[in-house]
Amino acid sequence: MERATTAPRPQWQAKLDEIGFPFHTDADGTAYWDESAYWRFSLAEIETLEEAAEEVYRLCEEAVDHVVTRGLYEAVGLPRWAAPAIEASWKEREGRDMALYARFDFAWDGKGGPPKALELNAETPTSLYETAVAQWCWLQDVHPDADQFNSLEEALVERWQARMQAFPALALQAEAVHFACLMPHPEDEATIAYLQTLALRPGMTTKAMPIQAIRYDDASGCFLDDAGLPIRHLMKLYPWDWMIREETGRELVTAAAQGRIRMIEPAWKMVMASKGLFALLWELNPGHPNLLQTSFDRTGFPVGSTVVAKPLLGREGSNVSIATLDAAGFPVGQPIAQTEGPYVDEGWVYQSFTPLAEADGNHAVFGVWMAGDKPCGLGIREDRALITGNTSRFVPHMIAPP
Amino acid sequence: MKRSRTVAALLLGGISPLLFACGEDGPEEATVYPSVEACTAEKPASDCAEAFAAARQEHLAGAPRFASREACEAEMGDGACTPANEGMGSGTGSVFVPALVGFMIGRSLTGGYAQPVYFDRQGYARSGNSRIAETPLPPQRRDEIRQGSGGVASSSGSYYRPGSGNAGKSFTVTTSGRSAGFGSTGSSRGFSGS
Repeated sequence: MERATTAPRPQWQAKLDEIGFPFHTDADGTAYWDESAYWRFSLAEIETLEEAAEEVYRLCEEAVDHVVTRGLYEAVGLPRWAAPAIEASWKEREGRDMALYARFDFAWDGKGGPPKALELNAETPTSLYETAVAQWCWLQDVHPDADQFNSLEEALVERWQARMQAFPALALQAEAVHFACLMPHPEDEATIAYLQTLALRPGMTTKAMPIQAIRYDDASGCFLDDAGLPIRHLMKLYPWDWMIREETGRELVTAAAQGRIRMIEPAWKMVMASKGLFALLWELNPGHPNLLQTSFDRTGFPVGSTVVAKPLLGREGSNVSIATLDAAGFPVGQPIAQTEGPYVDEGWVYQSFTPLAEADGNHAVFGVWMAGDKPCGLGIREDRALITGNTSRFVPHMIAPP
Repeated sequence: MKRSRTVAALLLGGISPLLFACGEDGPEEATVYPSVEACTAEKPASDCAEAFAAARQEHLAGAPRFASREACEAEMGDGACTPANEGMGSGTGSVFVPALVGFMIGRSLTGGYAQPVYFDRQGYARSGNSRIAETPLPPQRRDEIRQGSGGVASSSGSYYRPGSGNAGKSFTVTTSGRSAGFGSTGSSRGFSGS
């Protein structure tokens, strides 16, 4: 793999505006979408990433099963009373509570060692449109004869088709899929509009709405949309572990457990989305080549290890710190890097530090997208800092022609 | 090949259902009107006119144009089209656009494509070939659909498909239940995924 620098397309901002991606530049004027560089991979390297993602996802499913069959909810930061929804949906994971998507973050320098999975964003993965559409259009403009690890859109359309087959009422348009996110929130609204577009392709009826406008009818036990109609299928770009702690969270758990509402992602995804899952992954598969030592306990690392501390239910690279630990598991001196944020209450998970791919001071994390349990695309985020956050730049990629 | 053959850009030209609600309806009740006339029977005329003008402009700006109703209906379906001469400026002769339509505009390896999307009166979107008159409505809500302002129907201002059984009727939903309270955590913390 190689990071190449190149001249951006003339009027690249206008080209991104035109395809419905106006979020290319951050509020401070720096580029979020960065096509002054791209990463070039061989097909063999892409296949290595693909195989690693497929393998680790299989291990993640086993770890969710481990949590569900033993009731280890507290260990992954979830309340036991959420179990009915998690367990009911886990039983139907191959059918009516199928997963839609997820995104792994992999660290890999391509210099002989295997890719290492840092985490799995199993519920509200970001940079979907950048990956599926913006970098596709970039490649088509710049290197139309080259290829890209990016069948994300086709794979997601197939997932919607599979959902339609699992629910005859969706195919008959007697039921609809509601798409909800916080509004106003231009980026998230664009993401759900895109997902809605893909769901329309196979012929489903869809509706977008603010998540704040969802209502609950105590008499019928139904969640209602802003027109007063029942919500049977809800794609929410909003975390489960927040929803269950909000006003009608317990009602949502009950409704989902009884199949009165089908959630996308399904409730079992809140187990898969916990950073604590990676501690269980290591416990169940110690020494696995695609995993890093990960633990709820920071005393288990060799003295002098560099370790990354992450909040169990953290997001966007917030509240992450990297430090060298002493024999008692305490940091030696100041952290090597750290970020601020709101996630300080719900426990921590510790993971051995491993370097990201690096070129000219840019650290790149490789986001491998999953549709269901199949890897289907790659989106790369870069930062000058060691911790990738929500302002890290998106950099496109291509597969070099043979 | 490891990339998609086509990609879809975002829905363009879609009419936000929020524009259908004239005035300052409280959270407990929302009323949807098919026309300015139906709206002004119950709401300040200026609110209605403003909301409809915004929705109409958004729709007309993105809609494909056809030389005749026949040509438009051939593409968009029976009864799906409406004249678009008003407010179009320098147009000569009749121009027809589909009523209530949005578009999926996409790119493929060999060029572009577009697929129409219809929005019905409650904000439900369906793609190209489906019929918009088949809104899923639970039986207990049907009695709440009532005749608005003497059945005034306006083809140019209507948000309903002209000729459908719903033309000229306003639609009131007394929203039962209570706020589910979702979104409070993200509103206080700020949220943009992970």
